[in-house]
This record gives sequence, structure tokens and C-alpha cells, in this order.
Amino acid sequence: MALVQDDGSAKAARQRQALETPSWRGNLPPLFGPTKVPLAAPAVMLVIIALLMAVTTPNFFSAGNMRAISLDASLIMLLGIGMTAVITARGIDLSIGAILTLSSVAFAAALKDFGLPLWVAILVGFATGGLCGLVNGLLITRLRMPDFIVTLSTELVFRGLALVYAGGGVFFGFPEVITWLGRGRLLGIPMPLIIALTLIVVAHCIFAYHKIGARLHAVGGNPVAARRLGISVLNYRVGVYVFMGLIAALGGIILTGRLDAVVASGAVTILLNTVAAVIVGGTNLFGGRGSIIGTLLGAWLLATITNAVVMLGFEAFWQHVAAGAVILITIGLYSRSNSRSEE
Amino acid sequence: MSVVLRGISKSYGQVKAIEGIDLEVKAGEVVGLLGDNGAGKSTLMKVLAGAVTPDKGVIEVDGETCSFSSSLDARDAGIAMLYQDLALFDDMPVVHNIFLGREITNRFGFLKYGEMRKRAQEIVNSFSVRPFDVRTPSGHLSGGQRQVSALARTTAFGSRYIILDEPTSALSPSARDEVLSVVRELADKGIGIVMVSHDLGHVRKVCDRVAILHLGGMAGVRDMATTSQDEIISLIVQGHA
Repeated sequence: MALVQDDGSAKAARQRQALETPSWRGNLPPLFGPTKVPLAAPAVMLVIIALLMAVTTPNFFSAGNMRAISLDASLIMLLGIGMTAVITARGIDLSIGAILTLSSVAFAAALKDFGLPLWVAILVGFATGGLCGLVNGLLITRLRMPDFIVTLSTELVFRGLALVYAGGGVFFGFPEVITWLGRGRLLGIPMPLIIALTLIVVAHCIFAYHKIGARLHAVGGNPVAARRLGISVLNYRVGVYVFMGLIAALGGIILTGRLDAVVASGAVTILLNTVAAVIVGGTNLFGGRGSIIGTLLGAWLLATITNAVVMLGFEAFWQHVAAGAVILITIGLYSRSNSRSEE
Repeated sequence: MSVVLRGISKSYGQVKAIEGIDLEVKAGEVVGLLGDNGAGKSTLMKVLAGAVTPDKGVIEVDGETCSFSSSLDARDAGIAMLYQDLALFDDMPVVHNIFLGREITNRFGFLKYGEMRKRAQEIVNSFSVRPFDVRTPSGHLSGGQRQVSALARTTAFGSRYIILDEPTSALSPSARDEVLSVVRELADKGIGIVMVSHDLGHVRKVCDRVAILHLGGMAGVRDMATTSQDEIISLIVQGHA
């Protein structure tokens, strides 16, 4: 018994046939991942600013200036990978600056104070970052505390521990391989950029084409439904915080190489820049929709604005004003686009 | 081939939600589950779906006694539940919605998207509803298409018994007819269905039998062909005809 016959069975059959045999492109996964993220807004903003700068400041596209922008963008890009995963899974990590600093201090202490081999010191740095992430993840999932409160608190705890150990001092004079990671170049391309772009490609492939990426979107989009489908929401949520911790530790080692120093009171503004890059890149602050490529664009856009302000001869304080304005404009474009699609 | 509940009881503290419930759902039939608010429909559905463990009673699936400690156990036994909220991921395409948790992947865990899309489209196309592209985000679909997507996910992996919680609520009249048509189709393919609904008209359209709960007990099970609307309403309201 069929209560409803599909209207125009011949037409419906043709439609079904067409849907079952799409063009070769129809069998390719969505390029930017399982959820649609409006990448046009940051891309258009980036192009507009680049064109304006090309007209007004001839040196903007010089190799030296491009390297300066890429150095600024690469650290935000790197941390943005972890933050994109956290936010897509419906979380937020406000402690990344402190994790970066504490893992750098642990790395520096292992190398300088305890005289451990370099590779062991690097492992200590990563273990510290991973452990910090694990603490965040367990507090949030096992004690059911809000992400915002937990990571705001651990930001203070982790930074406090770094300051207590370092006692206001600075570690400096690191092995050449570390400074090469932070300042060196390969074929003229800065190493931080090579590292960040390599991880962007790997993270995008996992985010967009791997079952882990699909489940991560599900965990953020509808955690109750994800649980009913047998997806371990708690494990995914803990996992993204551990991943964020490891990424922050890597960022700490790169920053250490760039500065050839570890300062326990540093990396204070990195959080806002990272969250801004992720949000400008189209990742939904409320979870379920995210894009690594968007984060790449967001990080590059913010670094370009910061650089443009300096190149145009404004005081450095205007960087914040310009960055804030561009974030507002981009988010405004998203809101308009969302309300149109809802209509 | 049937799923049988015998003497199922469940209490929450001092409150008896259901007591001594017997019910059989055969393969290929649609059983309507009716009852007033607080009659125990939700508890009974959750027991059958593995979401709630009964205090007493036995569940047999195709002659084998089963014990469910989670909905995954029930799913493995061939019983799936479609919740009223549909549990869809609105930002993700229908193909991802259908395969989430049971993705087709290569040995490194990367999705075999082409194969998933093809199978998902075949599943959706097998229903007699207006065809739609499984690459569409489920949030962009109509109410009826969303129900069909959720039903496609529920039936895609060999579930032999399905529990539907108010499948026609908040749908337009045409979408309701589409969904009821799909429910009947599934039964005709040999799937046993328990359908909870407050709409007697819909129950009459698709159900073969109706089970009526009253204050946690089974008020009666009737064949739709031989019962009347008045008798059903009496059973719902008074617990007896």
C-alpha cells in the first residue's frame, strides 16, 4: 500500500537516475569539508587589502615584507589548527597562551637546568603541553565544568606555574636547530611557514576527508545525536584539548627558536589573535561547523592587516583598531549571509 | 520473526512507570503505541530501544532472549529508534548523516565518499517520495525529507525492528502523507514497526494493530480492522472499553 505516489513517476524516475549517476565531480568529497563554511568573506577582505596596499605601498609585495607577514601568520595558523578543532567540537580553550609558555619553560628547563639531551627536552615540552590539554579536557568532561571557566582558570594556573619556576628570569641561547626552526629558511621560505602549511594540509585532510573529522563536526553539531550513534563524545572532547595542548607546545618551541629565548610572561596576546583568525575563517563559535582552510585565510588576513598598518606609517596601536574593525566587518558579512539563507 | 516483550516493569524510585507489559511486534507489521501523557509509552519505547534497562521482564528478538545495556546493544540486535527530534546534523549533508558512526572508509580511516554517496542515494531513492540529492545539508531539507533522511539512516544497516516516536508531528499535511507512506513501505519490506502517535487518524492509516497503555499498564491490544475509534479512546482514557 502506498498512500502517496510520487508526483509524475516518470519524472521522478529520471531524477532518481540522475542522482544515482552524477558526474565525476559528484563523487568527490566536498573540497572544504563536510560543512559549508563561507570562505568568501575572508578571501575577499584579503584580496581588497592586498590590492589597496599594492597601490599605496610599492614595497608591500617585496620578498622581505611577505616573509614578515608569513612569520606573523604562521604561529597564528599553527595554533589556529588546534583551536579550530576545539571550537568545532563545541569547546573553547582560553589557556593556549599559558600552555605555550609553560611547555616552553619546561622544554627550556629540561635543556638548560637539567642538562637533558635536546630530543628529550623536546619530548618534555610536548608532554607538558599534552598534559595541560588533558587536564583541561578531563575537568570539562568528567567534572562537567564549562569550557570557558575551566580554561580561564587553567590559563592562570599554567601561567602561574611557568612564572613560579622561571622566577621572572629568561632562558636564552638555544641550540642552532631550534633557532633554525624559528628563524631559518628552506628554499627561501621561512621554516615556521613551512611547518604551519604542512600541518594545515595534514589537518585539512583529516578534518575534511577522514572519519575523525566527520565525527568531530558531529560532536560539535549535535552531541546528543552523536552519542546515540555510538560516537564517544567525551573521548573526542578530551582529544581535541590534548591536541590543542600538543599544538601549543609545538608553537612554543617555534617561538623559542624565533626569539632564541623563553620568557614566562610572554604570549599574552596570542589567544585573541588565534580565536579571531578561527572565527574570521568561518568556524562557528557554537560548534559543528569549521574549516582549517578558513583558519589559514583568517590568520593571513590578520597578519596582513597588522603589517599594513605599520607599512602605512600609522602608530602600532592602530593595529588593534584595524584588526578589530576587519573582524567586525567579516562577521557582519557572515551574519548577513546567514540571515539571507534562513529567509 | 518477531520481537516479544514479556512482563516488562520499570520504576523510577517509588513511581512505577510501567508494570507487567506484554507486547509482540511481528516482522512486517506496524503496531501503534497509544496512551495518555504519563501512560508509560516513552519508558516502554526506551526499554525496547535499549536506552532504559527494565527492572523485570524479558525481551526476545526473533526467538532469542536479549538483554540491552545500551542502545548500541539494541541496534546490534536489529532494533533502532527514531527519536522525535530526528537527531540529524543540520550542517552536514544527508550522506554524512546516514553514515555517521558507521562510515565506509579505507584502511587508514579516510572516507570512501563516492561509495557512501552512491549507497546513500540508493537508499533514499528506494522510498516512494520526491527524490532529493543526498549531498544536500539536512538543515536545508523540508520536514518530510528530513524524516525520510532519518528513516534512511535507521534502516540503512539492517535494522529489522524500528521504533518511531511521533514521526508525523510538526509536518505539513503533504509531508505527513509522505512519511506515513514510507512507514507502510518499510513494513511491506518486512520491517516490524512500533509507532507512537497522538493522531488517531494517522494510526488508522498505517497501523495493523494498536497497543494502548493506561497508567503504566497494558489496557489492550486491538486489530485495527476490528476495533473502533470509540473503543480506542475508551481504552486510552479509562483503561477499559
